[in-house]
Amino acid sequence: MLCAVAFAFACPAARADEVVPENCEVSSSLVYSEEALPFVAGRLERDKVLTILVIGSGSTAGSGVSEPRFAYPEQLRSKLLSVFPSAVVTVRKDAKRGATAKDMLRTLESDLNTVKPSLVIWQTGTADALRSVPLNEFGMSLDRGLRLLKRKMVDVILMDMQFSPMTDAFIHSSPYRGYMRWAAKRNEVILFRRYDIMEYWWNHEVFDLGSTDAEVQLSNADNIHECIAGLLAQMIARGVRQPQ
Amino acid sequence: MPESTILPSAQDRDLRVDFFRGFALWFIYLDHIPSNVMSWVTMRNFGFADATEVFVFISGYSAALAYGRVMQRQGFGFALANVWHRVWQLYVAHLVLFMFYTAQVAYVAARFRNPMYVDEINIAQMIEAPHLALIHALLLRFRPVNMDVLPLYIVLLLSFPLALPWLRRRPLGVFTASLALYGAARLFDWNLPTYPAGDGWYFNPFAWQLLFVIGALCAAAPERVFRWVPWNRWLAWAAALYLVFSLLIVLSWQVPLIDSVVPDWLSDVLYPIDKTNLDSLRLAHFLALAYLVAHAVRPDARFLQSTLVRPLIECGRQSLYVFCVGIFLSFATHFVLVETSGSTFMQIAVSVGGIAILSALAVTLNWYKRMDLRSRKLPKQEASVQ
Repeated sequence: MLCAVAFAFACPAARADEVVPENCEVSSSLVYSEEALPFVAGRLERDKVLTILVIGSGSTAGSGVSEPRFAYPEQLRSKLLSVFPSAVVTVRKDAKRGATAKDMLRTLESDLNTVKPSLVIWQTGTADALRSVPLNEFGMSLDRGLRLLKRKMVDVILMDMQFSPMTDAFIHSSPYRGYMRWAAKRNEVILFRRYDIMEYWWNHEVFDLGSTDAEVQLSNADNIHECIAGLLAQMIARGVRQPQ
Repeated sequence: MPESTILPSAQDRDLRVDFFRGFALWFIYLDHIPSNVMSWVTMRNFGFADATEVFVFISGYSAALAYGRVMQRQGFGFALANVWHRVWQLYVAHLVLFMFYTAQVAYVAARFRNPMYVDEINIAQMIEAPHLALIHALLLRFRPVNMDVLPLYIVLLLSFPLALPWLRRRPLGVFTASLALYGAARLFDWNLPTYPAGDGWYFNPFAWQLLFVIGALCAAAPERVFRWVPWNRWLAWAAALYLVFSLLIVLSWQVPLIDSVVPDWLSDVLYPIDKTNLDSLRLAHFLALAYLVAHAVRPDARFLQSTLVRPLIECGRQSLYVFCVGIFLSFATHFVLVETSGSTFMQIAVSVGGIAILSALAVTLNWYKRMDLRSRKLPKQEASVQ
């Protein structure tokens, strides 16, 4: 029945579950979302086109992976191609190390005009938590960005910071994550809970995030970025199928 | 329910204070270990308020008890000296903790160079001018993560003598002034400065002083407090309902099913729940809890005497040491978890181990205190013969 309804998308339901590598599956409550991706779905149905803009900081820029093509935005493209084989998938990114939400907001509008995406994946919170940016200021930047995206009729997936057992003791990330969760709920956008997901992997010993061995760190980075890409693709597929 | 059974007699040490303070200290320790599965059992997962509220309230309560007595017996001047002597001790403890923190940051920065965390590793470089950071730490302006409770306590206790003489004479006046300060702080965004320039103190003293003062009033003028907030069945039911509501909302953050039931208008009203400025939701939750607990647990409750509960009471008695060692242990525990294994079993094991160490420390300190007191009471000749 789902296949019949979604035949224009060539049945992504089954494929979506295949793009997530087996070892990095997480409990369903961590990737559950009720929000839909109407603009993505509409654009896919009409033009068979999926254009994504990813904005973020160091991790989005691909720090730590062995080659640039292993960063999660690049891997996302190949994952989405297998989920939506008949669509033209483009993934562009604008990522700078140490960029706060306010920094990203500055270039958001011009990026939107250049790329004209149907989906923006906004990864933020890392630099803000690190620098203890006032929570109100962070919140305002988030709200302004999300309102702008809504006006421009673009779907959004919000992504929070990475989990690191080493620096966890030194960075107050929970107020910022809490705010992002609330902003996502209020603006009805999907929140990709990267922190919780990586913490799940750490607790279940899927990846040794605290390793100080350079080779282990490198292979971990490549695998983690692939997992993130897979989970994102799965989320996008679900959001597209979600009734509005 | 006659009021007299709920208040301790003037001479006995109210074991409830030690019990709940011990509770708060254990929870603070567990909560300070990042990504610890044991933190699931702590208060913050069952309602809006957490161990910090308990700690601040009880600090106010016991400060009023202790220094009120000193003021009665030896006058305000001596009480003032007493308070500020204590503040000095707390300040020194804060500096020691800061030293351990700096050591840990430096160690982690040197050892953990994972390029995947290129943004996060900057934490060490955040301390760009270490000599400046040190000066600001001395001024209580540079307070790294997890070192926020002690500076709050320091500031509250430092200004406590302002209220001390009036607690019994003008309790309503003190409460009104405190409430006004709380309201003004939230309205006008008053807070103390931090370094690097940020949002202000993580626990805004202008806001949190309200809870401290309420605790102090409960100790200093209990009859008045009971007149304003008597035991009333409807009030108790309202409190209980609010606790259930709070539990459901907190659960909705973890359980998507419950989250989908929460209506949007409710989310808009509730969030964000401001821990820094003692959000009224948290205050109300704590007060509801305190109201029910104060009446449920009498000072002479039998379970307070049992051996099972003794570690908590011992920890509550040595709160400063237990708090500081607890913070230090949370650093160490976190380190062990990262270096060996982050598995759930290890988390539980080191958490329980840490609690055991804290309890052992508290028992030892209390024993030493008793022995010390006893040796001082020996007549001088006996002492010199030995």
